[in-house]
Amino acid sequence: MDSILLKTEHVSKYFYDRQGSFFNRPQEVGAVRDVSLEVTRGTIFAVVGESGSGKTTLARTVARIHSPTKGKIWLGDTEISSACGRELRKLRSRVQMVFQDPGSSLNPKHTTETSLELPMKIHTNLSAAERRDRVRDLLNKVELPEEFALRHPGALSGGQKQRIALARALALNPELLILDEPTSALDVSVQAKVLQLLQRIQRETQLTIMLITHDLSIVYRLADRVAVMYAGEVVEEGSTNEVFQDPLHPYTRALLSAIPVITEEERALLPPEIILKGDAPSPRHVPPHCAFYARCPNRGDRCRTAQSPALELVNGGRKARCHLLGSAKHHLTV
Amino acid sequence: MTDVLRVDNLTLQFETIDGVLTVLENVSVSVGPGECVALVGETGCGKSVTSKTVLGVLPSPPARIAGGHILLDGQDLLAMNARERKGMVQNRLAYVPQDPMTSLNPVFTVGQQLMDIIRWRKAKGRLGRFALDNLSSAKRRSIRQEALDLLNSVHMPDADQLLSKYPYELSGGMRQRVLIAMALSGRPALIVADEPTTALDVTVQKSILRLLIERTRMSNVSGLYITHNLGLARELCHRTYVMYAGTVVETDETDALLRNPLHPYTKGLVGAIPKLTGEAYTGIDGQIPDYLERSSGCRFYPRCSRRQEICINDRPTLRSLHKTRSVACHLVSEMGSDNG
Repeated sequence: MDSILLKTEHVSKYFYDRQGSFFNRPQEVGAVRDVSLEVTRGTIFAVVGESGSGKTTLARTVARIHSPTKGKIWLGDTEISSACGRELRKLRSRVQMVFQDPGSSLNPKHTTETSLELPMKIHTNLSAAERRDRVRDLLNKVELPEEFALRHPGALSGGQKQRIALARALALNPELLILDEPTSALDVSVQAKVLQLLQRIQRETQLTIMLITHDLSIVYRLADRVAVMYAGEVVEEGSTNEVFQDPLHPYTRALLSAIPVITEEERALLPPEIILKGDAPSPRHVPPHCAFYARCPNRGDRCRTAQSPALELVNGGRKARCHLLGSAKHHLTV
Repeated sequence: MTDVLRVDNLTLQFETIDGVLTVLENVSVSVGPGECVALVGETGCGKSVTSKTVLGVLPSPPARIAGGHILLDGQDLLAMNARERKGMVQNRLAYVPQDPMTSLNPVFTVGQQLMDIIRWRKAKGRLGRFALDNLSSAKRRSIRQEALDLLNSVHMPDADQLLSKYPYELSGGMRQRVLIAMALSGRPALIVADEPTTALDVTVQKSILRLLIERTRMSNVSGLYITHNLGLARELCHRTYVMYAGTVVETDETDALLRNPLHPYTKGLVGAIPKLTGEAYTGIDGQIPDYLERSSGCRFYPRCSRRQEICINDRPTLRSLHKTRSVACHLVSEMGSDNG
């Protein structure tokens, strides 16, 4: 089972927006820049980063809600970056997405049953009775009682709504499930339940999941691989264990050191505290040198004068984007 | 030394068409001088309502204080008349709101808003709306300087330029810093912050936390922080109160509380966090009870994993176990004895 399900090759997504006068030239906003990833079938791949780092845009591009400005996306053997019309519709049943806020991603006028049936009506030829059976199956799968089929979202709690959203995404047995901050709108007690449900479903069905989140503890517990994004670029990628144990990029280290933990034992597992100054660069004005330069605690002269570093293969499938990879190693391991 | 803030057996009700909701029941919270205290709990368990009651900003009706005292510097706020109370709160308390995106006025520059507050503080609240316009330029300069000092104290780069910027030109972290600067402007005795970093990214959150810790230590300000993030409470606060359904269920020094939670709800909360050490995490089944249904038993009973018969009809009260720890649970005496 070591086949690649999703592959992106140098995918970029630019948005254009015109500020000020109508006659101004539209400005380029580089939301996602040159991202190449491979997601293995049956694994959970996490994308982390701060808000504005382009992780959601990447997810939406992969789901083909956006089309990429540059680059190619492959799903299995199909190239999906230029799919349109019927092809795109076929793709919808293979890639499904769960959004952050279940309150606004479910239609408040539809009962659970109507919401869950809709994808089946569009993409399959199931009869009404078969669809109803399937709705029951789905509710069971997300551990909700069957009577919830006739409820409206207004009568459900946040956690229950998110389960329904998950059930809807699973309705067509997609190959790739994209979860965009699936639990950030939920309380911890509810979050734990939803995460466990996700893990169980993933184990049982060998589903491939792309998990977008800013919560690194979740990544650590769920994901097999993780990509860290900063200012639209992937700055580090590798298996979750390796990245957490030995982060290569200074941004990853800062991110890890900032995880709010609740015990000393956990704190001991994290790199020493690094506090970053300032903010990430605006995607409108990405500097030509390393995008992290302005905030980097161990920057050197080269980082400002040289072009933005490339994503280098380090060892055993790990990648990082930093000029100081070789030299930084010493003062890291202290 | 007297506590800066002392909330004693506060009971608060909302009178609605559906009936009377008791949203806070015998809540007691105290904040000592220079101390940082956290209120934690799930959404809807009364954390924000507690802070808003202290600030006196809840509209009444529907809110009605049915019992208890709120002592600020040893003086009972609830025994004062409205004007005295307002004056007291304005002088001694400052509030940092949750969402830095919506709490600054988008049509005024940061400088205008900051300088207005400083001016208003100086005039002790007796001030017309456009007061800055009728000031001598010397006075204006001194106020401007004070605003700059405030921005510098929260480590804002280029404070000078910042004064003429509009809130939309600032990032979330910078806006939060401006709000903290505003809160510090009146040299308050206590800062009440409602989820001060929830809207921010982790790395920015960290720097804001550091700033809050530094500022509160340096100017000896106490802090009452409302949060749902236990990790944040651990970094920021000496003591923590865990709230559930309008009651305080457990309190202790934050480290001790997180290391050894005794109340089943606190245990559930701590156990629900995915930890890096790899222990299993489980959530809590069910949800916060409806405030309209007042059972006489333990509020946590329906969700509790170790409930017993006594819990159905007898509401546990907060009992002091040892020095700092208090727990409201019938089952804790036996469980707690081994770590007393």
